[in-house]
Amino acid sequence: MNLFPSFYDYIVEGLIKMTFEEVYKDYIDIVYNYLRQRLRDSYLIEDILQETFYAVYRSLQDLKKKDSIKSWILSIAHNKMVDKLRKEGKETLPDLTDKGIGPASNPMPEEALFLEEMLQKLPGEDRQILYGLYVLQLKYSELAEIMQLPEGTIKSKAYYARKQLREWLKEGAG
Amino acid sequence: MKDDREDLIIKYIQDDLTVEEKMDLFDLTLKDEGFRTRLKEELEFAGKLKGTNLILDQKVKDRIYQEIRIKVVKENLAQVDIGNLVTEGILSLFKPRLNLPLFKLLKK
Repeated sequence: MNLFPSFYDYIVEGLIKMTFEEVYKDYIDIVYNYLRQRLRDSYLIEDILQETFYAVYRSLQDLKKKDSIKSWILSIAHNKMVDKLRKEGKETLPDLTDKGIGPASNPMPEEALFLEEMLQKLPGEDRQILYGLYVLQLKYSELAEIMQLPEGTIKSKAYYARKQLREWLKEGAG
Repeated sequence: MKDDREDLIIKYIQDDLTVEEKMDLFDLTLKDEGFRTRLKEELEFAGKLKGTNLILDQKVKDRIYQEIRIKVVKENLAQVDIGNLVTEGILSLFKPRLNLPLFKLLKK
């Protein structure tokens, strides 16, 4: 008897067929970086990653119907994160002194470290929005769905966060 | 108008411009120095933000993957009809003994 039968089931995104293993490999770092914009506890991040990808595995059938795997997985991760934060009763922000920020294998370049430091002055939600827009290339509407916020809120938060960050970066550079 | 320009820049970064928007962007880039500076600024910011990306340690990735596998196996095991398995197991243990007297009887 095969106790792990559907782990290698195929899921379909457009015309691309992917196994769960491929989805895991392709998206684990994306979800990790999204979560660490808001969380500092590496164990908590690991927990959420595990729960997220377990849920992804369990919902392979649903995934066939989704247009964007990336925003679908991030939605699951975001919900898991919100649940955990609600249970903990507080938002955990990245530790300014922790330059490694969790169980990462690559060191951050010095220039990026400065930006990271400035980013940490922003609220976690704003960091996730900027990261979603500029790095993950998510649309406002996709981010609104992931974060369960109105699109207008995402837009204005992005605008003011970016403006604030621009000022801090200018001050820091000066 | 200002909002439209910011949207245009974000859409460009996301590679999500329509043909019409691409032409608008091209036009603005040629004619408006302020827009050109903002575009450059935002592209640089996107690049720098990408530089803050971290790669999760392979050991952690493997651990999470294994944990998921264990969870799945456990769940699948729980779905197996344990009662049936136990009955079959017990029966298979006793089968030869039960059959032995029957065989002797049949031999006679």
